[in-house]
Amino acid sequence: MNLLNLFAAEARNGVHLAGDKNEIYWGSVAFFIVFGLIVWKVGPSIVQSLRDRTARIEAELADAKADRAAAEAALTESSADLPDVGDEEAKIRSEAASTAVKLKEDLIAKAEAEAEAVRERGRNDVENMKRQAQADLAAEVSRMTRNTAEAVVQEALDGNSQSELIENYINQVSGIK
Amino acid sequence: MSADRIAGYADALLAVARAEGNLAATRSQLNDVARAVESNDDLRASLSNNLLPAATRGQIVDDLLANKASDTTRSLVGMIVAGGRGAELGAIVSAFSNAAAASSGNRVAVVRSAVALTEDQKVRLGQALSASTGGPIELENIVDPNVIGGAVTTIGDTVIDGSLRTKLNQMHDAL
Repeated sequence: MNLLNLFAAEARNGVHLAGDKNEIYWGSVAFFIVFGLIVWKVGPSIVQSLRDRTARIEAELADAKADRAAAEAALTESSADLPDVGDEEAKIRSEAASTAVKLKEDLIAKAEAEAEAVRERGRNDVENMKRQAQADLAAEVSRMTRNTAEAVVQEALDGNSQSELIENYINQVSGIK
Repeated sequence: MSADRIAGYADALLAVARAEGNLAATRSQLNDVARAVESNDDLRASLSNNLLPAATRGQIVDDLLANKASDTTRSLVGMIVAGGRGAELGAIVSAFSNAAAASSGNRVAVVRSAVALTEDQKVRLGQALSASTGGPIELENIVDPNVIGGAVTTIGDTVIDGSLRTKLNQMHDAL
């Protein structure tokens, strides 16, 4: 009420309206004409734009819904695969254990074979060294025997013995036909 | 050294000795020189050392054979040694001796013995060898202490071994 009184007090004609009524009428008519033109020309574009935006948002919502459905399906599938993963893990563990056992057995067999080969080589080396030592000893004995025999023979050979050996040789050659 | 080269040198020695008219003496002296070189390692090494100048090797030959061999023998040995064939001197002289004997229709029998054969033994051994080989034989006796006793005869590729050395070696092999 105080505010109305204030408007009324400030108006020249005692009411809070423009002083010229024609200005109000024609102003209102011009306003509605301009407003109608705007609604007539621009309104459909704005409406279409709003509709397009609505359709786009709806499409995006549909896509999001589809993505969600796909994600849920993937989640369901993954959840369904979880028991298989467990089986696969057990299978891998079992195979790894089998492989480890077989590898261990192979390594042990290989090590035993190599150890046996080393022992065999050692036995052969010892046997060869033994044979070589025996051969060397025999050769040395033979050499010493020959040298001793040679020294004895040379010591025993005098002129007559040499002559006799030559005569024997001549007889040997005479016997060759 | 190839056999052809040795034969070539032997033929050259034979031709020179014949041309000089002293084949028998040259042959005997060359055999003596070959045996001397064979039995002396230092001498053989010196005459075979081609790093020594040819003149030095020739001088060694001259010093070795001075007043001991004919000029022909000295020249022939000098030719072989100066030609860088000192290492093959024995083989060349042996081939020369064989060629000389062959030119007379004979074969050379090299008899190695610990002691020198008497003339009688040479004659009888030569006859025995001629009978066994079916042809005349010229016998060359080389005294070789390594034989120890008995003898070893080489006629071409044929070896008749009756040496104590071989018997001792056989005993050694048997042991």
